Amino acid sequence: MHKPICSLIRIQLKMQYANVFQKPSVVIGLVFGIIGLLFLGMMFGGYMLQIIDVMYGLLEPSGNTNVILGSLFLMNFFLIFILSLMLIMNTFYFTEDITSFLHLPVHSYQLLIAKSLNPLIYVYLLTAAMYLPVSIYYGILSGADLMYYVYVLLLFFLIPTIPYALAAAVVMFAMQFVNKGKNKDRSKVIGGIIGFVLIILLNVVLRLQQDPEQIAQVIADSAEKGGLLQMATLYYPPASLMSHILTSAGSWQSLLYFVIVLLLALFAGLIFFAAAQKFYLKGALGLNTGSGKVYSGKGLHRKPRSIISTYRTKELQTIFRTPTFFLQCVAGAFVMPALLIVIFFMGDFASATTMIEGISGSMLFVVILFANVFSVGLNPISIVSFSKDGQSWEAHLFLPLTMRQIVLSKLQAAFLINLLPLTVLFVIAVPVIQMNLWEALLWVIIALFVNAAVTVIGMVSDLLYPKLGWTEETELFQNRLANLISIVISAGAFAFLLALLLILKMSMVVSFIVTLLYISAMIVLLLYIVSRLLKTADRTSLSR
Amino acid sequence: MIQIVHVHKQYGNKKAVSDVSLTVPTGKIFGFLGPNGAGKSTTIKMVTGILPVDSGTITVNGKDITSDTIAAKQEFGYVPDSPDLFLRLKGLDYLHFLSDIYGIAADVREARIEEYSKMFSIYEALGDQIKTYSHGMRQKLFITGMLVQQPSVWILDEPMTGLDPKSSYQLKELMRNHAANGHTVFFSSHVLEVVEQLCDEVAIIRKGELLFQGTLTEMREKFQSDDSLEHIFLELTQDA
Ligand SMILES: Nc1ncnc2c1ncn2[C@@H]1O[C@H](COP(=O)(O)OP(=O)(O)OP(=O)(O)O)[C@@H](O)[C@H]1O
Ligand SMILES: [Mg+2]
Repeated sequence: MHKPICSLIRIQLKMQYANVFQKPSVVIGLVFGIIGLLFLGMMFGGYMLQIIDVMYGLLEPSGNTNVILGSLFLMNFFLIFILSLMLIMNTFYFTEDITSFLHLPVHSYQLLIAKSLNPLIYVYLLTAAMYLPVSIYYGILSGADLMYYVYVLLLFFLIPTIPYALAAAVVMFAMQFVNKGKNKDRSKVIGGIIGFVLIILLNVVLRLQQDPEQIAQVIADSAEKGGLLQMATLYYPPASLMSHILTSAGSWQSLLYFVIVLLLALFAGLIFFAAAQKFYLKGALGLNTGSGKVYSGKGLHRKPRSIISTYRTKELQTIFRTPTFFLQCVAGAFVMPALLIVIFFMGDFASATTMIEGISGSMLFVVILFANVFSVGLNPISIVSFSKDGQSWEAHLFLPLTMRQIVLSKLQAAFLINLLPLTVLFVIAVPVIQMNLWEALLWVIIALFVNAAVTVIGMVSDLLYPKLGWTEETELFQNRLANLISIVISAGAFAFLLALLLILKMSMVVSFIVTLLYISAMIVLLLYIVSRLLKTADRTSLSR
Repeated sequence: MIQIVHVHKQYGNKKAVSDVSLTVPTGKIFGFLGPNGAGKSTTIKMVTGILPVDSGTITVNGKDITSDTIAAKQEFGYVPDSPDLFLRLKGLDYLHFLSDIYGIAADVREARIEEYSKMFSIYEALGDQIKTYSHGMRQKLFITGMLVQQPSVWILDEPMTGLDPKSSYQLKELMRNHAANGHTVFFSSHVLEVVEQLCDEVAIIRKGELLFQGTLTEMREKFQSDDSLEHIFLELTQDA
């Protein structure tokens, strides 16, 4: 019975990860990536541990410290549930290669367990990052014995299974209705947007209270009223079971609870199995079919366009019509500004305004640039400029197109898409920060330049490390060295500018001019690099 | 006219095409024959600029594909063997895209798109994404694209595979007309009946080496046989 699962897993590993680790550049990139992640983790982790420290001190007198674990499990559950919703929608339904498995004589659950490989890697990584440090730190604080850590490890493997299986069941149940809908591509997009909105909401909730002391106080307060753990139990009973297992590790009671949690995980697995067998095919079969409308002759007559303009149109059409690209590059563009605003100003308009008033001149530029670089830089559109063509890249080789035309139109398309987050950022920020028109205008000019620079950086990194041999679009956004390189380059380049502005402490107009000069010089330099790259690397070499 | 002169191509250590020279003349339908893996597609990809040549030269209507790339590419239209390109575009978008690239005027392209897409019965599907087309429909869309472009040199890699009899017949007629008007038609195939009915001249390739180029009659003379083409073909291409 497990043979099909193993071979399905093996073929996916081959399709997605084969040859990845053979190039030294990939290994170097991975090392840098891991260092970067560790750095981020330490920053975030330090913050989290600080909260826990304070909370532990507050709760210890009343003996309510297990609330910390309870809320940890609860938070973990929600995060994994939401992450899983997105991952599952993508891997089970919207990937291109799913149709090549549907005809195989395997049960849905076998296929889906195999398909879960990638999402589960993410889910376990998230759990490792969130749960392990906190639970271990708690153990140290409370002076726990060996059994505690044994249970910590055992629970680590169990924790993600329940939210993952439940999320899968929810998606499978919902997708049968999406598949019945008339305009399937649109439903896909809507589904994705709902996912994004959920993530934003979660972030807002998490960000509402930013000060560690404050958060700890709030949680401690509600705990003292006897609220939080009960509340956690109300939403997600295993959370309190799990925290009991840890706090009374070594007792018979905790073994009993552990068995119950184990049974619950098995039960979740059963739900996954049942949903897979009952709903999956109904949602997946025929999901990627056309509208079936008979062509009416509309648009047959069209004014001829220049090569660059027709190519740019083709790029935009491809991005908008491919659910994965749409979600990542267009819908994603709205998420970043929203998150940024939440992160920077925590929805507290009054304090945001005073904060902005307090900063002047070059500092304002620092803040704005930071926001711009991040919102544009994190949009993967230019990073997949070439890679997104995949197999169709071959057409560039026999059509009479010069590389200059291709690069220019791709740059334009990416630039246009990247205008979206800037527009959103602008539309939201002007009323919030109450910038005056003059400052807003300066910002727009800078933003356009930043946009151009970041777009070119993304494209350069994709030219250096293109990935044309994908079997499904989502692969483009996983394990991409180019993403990392472009983020490192953009962050580095702009960090330098920020440092300069901070040191010089200039007036606004002077910083504006310095910034503009700096970015223009950077764009010129980058374009020079692009043209050199194109001269040395003939475009057929892209198809490696 | 296509001229291929002493062309070599190697994939890693594997020789795919070695020292092939051939001339595809104007006014004739030229068939390119060989068993699976012989190097037909590889040769065609070098002619169309998809693969770089290791050594040798290729010119299309006198324009060198390596040094005068864009001008050479303006001369031909190409139908690939696996037409799985631009899957997210709608059929009509693809045809307009192609017309823009080759600079086809608005009314001309409108008339041609309508005529040829109706001829190949894909007109009704023009509003759908290419992704939803069947294999044969995709192939017919790419053929339609070439007909809208109307280049002087046609290069087709196994164009009949996957076409229904009616479409296949129509394509053959179009190829005959095109050659009769003094243009060049270069296609690969292993369907022998097609070659026998259609070709004025053939070239046979096996394991990357050119075995023969000439008319069908010359081929029969050379191999001193009145046998059917199939027999000759089998003999020529069997593992020696
Ligand atoms: N991308 C590639 N990498 C490595 N080897 C290749 C590649 N493409 C083709 N080959 C090899 O080159 C040789 C010629 O292949 P080619 O595709 O030209 O054959 P063909 O004559 O078109 O065959 P068919 O009739 O099956 O289409 C084959 O041995 C094949 O294995
Ligand atoms: Mg071939």
